[in-house]
Amino acid sequence: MTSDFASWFEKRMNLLFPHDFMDDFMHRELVPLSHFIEKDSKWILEVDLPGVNKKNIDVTITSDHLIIKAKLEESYRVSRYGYATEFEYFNKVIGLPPHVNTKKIETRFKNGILTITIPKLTAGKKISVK
Amino acid sequence: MKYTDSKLKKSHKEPSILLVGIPGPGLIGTLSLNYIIHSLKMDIIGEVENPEMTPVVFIDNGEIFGPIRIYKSGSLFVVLSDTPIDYELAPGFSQSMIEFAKKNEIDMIVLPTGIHAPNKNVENTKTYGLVTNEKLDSVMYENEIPKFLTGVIAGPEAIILTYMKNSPIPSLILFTECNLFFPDPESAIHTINTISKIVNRNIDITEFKKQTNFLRLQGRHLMEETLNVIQQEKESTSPPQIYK
Repeated sequence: MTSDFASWFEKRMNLLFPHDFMDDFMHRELVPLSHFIEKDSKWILEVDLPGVNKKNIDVTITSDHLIIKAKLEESYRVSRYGYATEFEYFNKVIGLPPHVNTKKIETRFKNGILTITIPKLTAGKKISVK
Repeated sequence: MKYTDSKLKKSHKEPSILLVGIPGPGLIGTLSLNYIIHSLKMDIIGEVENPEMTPVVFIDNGEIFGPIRIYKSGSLFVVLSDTPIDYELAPGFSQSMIEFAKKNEIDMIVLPTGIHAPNKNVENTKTYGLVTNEKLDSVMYENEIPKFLTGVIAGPEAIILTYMKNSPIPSLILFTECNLFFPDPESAIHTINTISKIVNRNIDITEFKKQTNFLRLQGRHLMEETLNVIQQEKESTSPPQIYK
């Protein structure tokens, strides 16, 4: 149940952003925020998953994508234009950067943030230095 | 950019404080000041107008206001922008804010914002302070706010800070450790507690604490818009943020 402040804040956000944040109303799936940070030897992908328990997070890898799906502990209700939708899941497909070692991907979940570490490929053809 | 303030009353004898909030890192300013306005039941008394702002209005009690509004409760004022301030709008916004502060004999401007701390300790989140006038050193000392000693601030906030530095009104900028990329209400709690001490008002954060997950979900769209503004500047000539 949302509080008085939460309802007030929700009204403000709805006024500012009347169009939905790419959320899938048909499948009742929210799109989480995410971002990549590039380091020397790896990429770090962070995905914001508030209200989720670690055991309800699925991370799947394909040849060039990561698919992140997570179930909310409590459904998230959105009321707009007289209609209410209850969202129960996060779902996002994220393209992998090129030249990464998909076999050594690591994940960690803390304080509602999923951190995925993706090492870069370091093997290659040796070039001699004269 | 100009402001309308048709409902202002004359100056107060007790110290007047102006809190200023714009969407920024972690949405710290947005989340903390929205809650303070709600918690203290502050009244809307005017707005900052600019025809170049996003064409959106906010309706409160049957009256129409723009996205940058001015609130008041006793000698406490808040200027809050619901939409991100980009490079082009920052000078006009800063000038309006300072003009408002001068006209209303504001004693101190406080601008809460976030500072990216990727390895922040959630149990011991810190809020640092930076003053533009040594008169405010005592405010920092009395409220146990450590000084922000070394770093670089880029983006529209840097423009606002420059105007604040060059204005005659003492200003205090509060930097709370946060996640730059996601709404961070957990960090905003620390900001609210710090402001509560500075303005000497009891702000109960019980309701806010219960809604942190909801606020993170609600703030997604605004966070993305804010990052678009910050990223635009970073692609130009802005240096990266460096923190001590």
